Amino acid sequence: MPINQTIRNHMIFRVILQGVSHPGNVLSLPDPHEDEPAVFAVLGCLLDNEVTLSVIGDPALEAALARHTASRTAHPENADYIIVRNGTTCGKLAGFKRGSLEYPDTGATILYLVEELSQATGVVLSGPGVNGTVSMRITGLDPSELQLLRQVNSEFPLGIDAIFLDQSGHIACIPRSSRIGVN
Amino acid sequence: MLMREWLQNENEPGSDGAPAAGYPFGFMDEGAKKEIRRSILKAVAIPGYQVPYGSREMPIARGWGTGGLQITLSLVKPDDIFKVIDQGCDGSVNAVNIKKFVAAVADVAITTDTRAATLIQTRHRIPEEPMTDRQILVLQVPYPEALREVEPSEMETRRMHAEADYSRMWLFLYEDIVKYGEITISYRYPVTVNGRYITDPSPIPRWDVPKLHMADTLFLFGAGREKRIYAIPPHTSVEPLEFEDHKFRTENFSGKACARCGATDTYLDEVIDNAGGGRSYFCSDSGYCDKRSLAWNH
Repeated sequence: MPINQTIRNHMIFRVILQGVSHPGNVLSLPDPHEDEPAVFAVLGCLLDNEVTLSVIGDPALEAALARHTASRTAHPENADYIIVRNGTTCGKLAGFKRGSLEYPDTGATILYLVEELSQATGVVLSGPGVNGTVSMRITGLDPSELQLLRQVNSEFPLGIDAIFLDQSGHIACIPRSSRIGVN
Repeated sequence: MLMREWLQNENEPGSDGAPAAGYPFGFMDEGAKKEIRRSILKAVAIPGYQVPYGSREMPIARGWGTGGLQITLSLVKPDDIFKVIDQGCDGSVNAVNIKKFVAAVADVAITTDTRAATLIQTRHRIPEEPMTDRQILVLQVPYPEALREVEPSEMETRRMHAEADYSRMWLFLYEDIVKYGEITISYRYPVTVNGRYITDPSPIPRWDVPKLHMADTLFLFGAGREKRIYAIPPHTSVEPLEFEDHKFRTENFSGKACARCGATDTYLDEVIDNAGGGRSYFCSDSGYCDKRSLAWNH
């Protein structure tokens, strides 16, 4: 692997880590490459052949991501990483892996590719990583999706961790530990 | 070749994959780093839960900070400013070795100043100076399971965590009070993280336990020999186990001061003079003590 790609992976992971440990904070990924969409960069520093992925409603992207990360594809219900392109899972979110009480870390991670993320009035988060409350606006996400996410994450420590990625390379996270409200 | 040169030469043909001293950036292979990163993200999303991971061989022995080192190497950036402390001290052999190693494979700058550091790896202490939300503290953990004291079976402790069945831990503390009149755990004091998991805060003294509560900083815990990663995110409630009539209390250093910098608000090490038998006290956090001593002498 080229050395500058290795370093880029380290830098991108640090942004993701900052995002997960500060839910609802919209952060910028480092210097986006024109020939590498942000979703490839984000998954490229995390996924390998030990995990499975699934892309909802885009077989071409699924094949490309599997090739890029060397991970295997799986049915969304069994996948460790699920990528959603059109802002909705059409209710399927409730069927994704939430882990077991013994191994809650086996719950899935879902990556929503949305239009725009901004630090404006929208979804209100509180819980670990948030000092009081934080507000984030997600444009291009079906509002019912957040309701569903709140439901599947209502039995902590079981749940699904959500990452949001917008078209200009911004990233924000809602891990299962966050409490979700809307205003 | 230094990392700066790699970055400068990144567009030149033939520079791709050039390793430092025969190793890739960050020493570990990409597969190892990816697994550790996935485990870290799950650990942060489930505060206090121990995520199992495949601990790799490191060029230091298991039990010497391999868990912390693997976390550090999976997330270090060339522009990080790195600090390593061992029981508060920047200058111990173990701390210096880890520092030199990470500097060699990731070309990070080294500091002893807590405020200047962006990434701190530590064994058994949390720095005295408050840390910010842009900093990460990586703690080395020998025994990640807080319940191991009361239950030897991993299967059983996993069930206890799954069901939040912590009665035996409470009973252990109660029996301690019955026998000795107080809870006698001095370090590795068990805490409840986010109101859910009882967690081992690593062998930090009681003095440091309140620093975990609603902190600004992300705390990552790595147990290399026991193959576990867990985390306490910023702004997360961390409550030491206590009873209404037997409250948690920290070490008491009232009336004592550091013999070197005069600090009265730090965790102090007791040093006994072999010749005269006299006792004196010194700051355990050597970086903070150095800073205070310098300010005093100038």
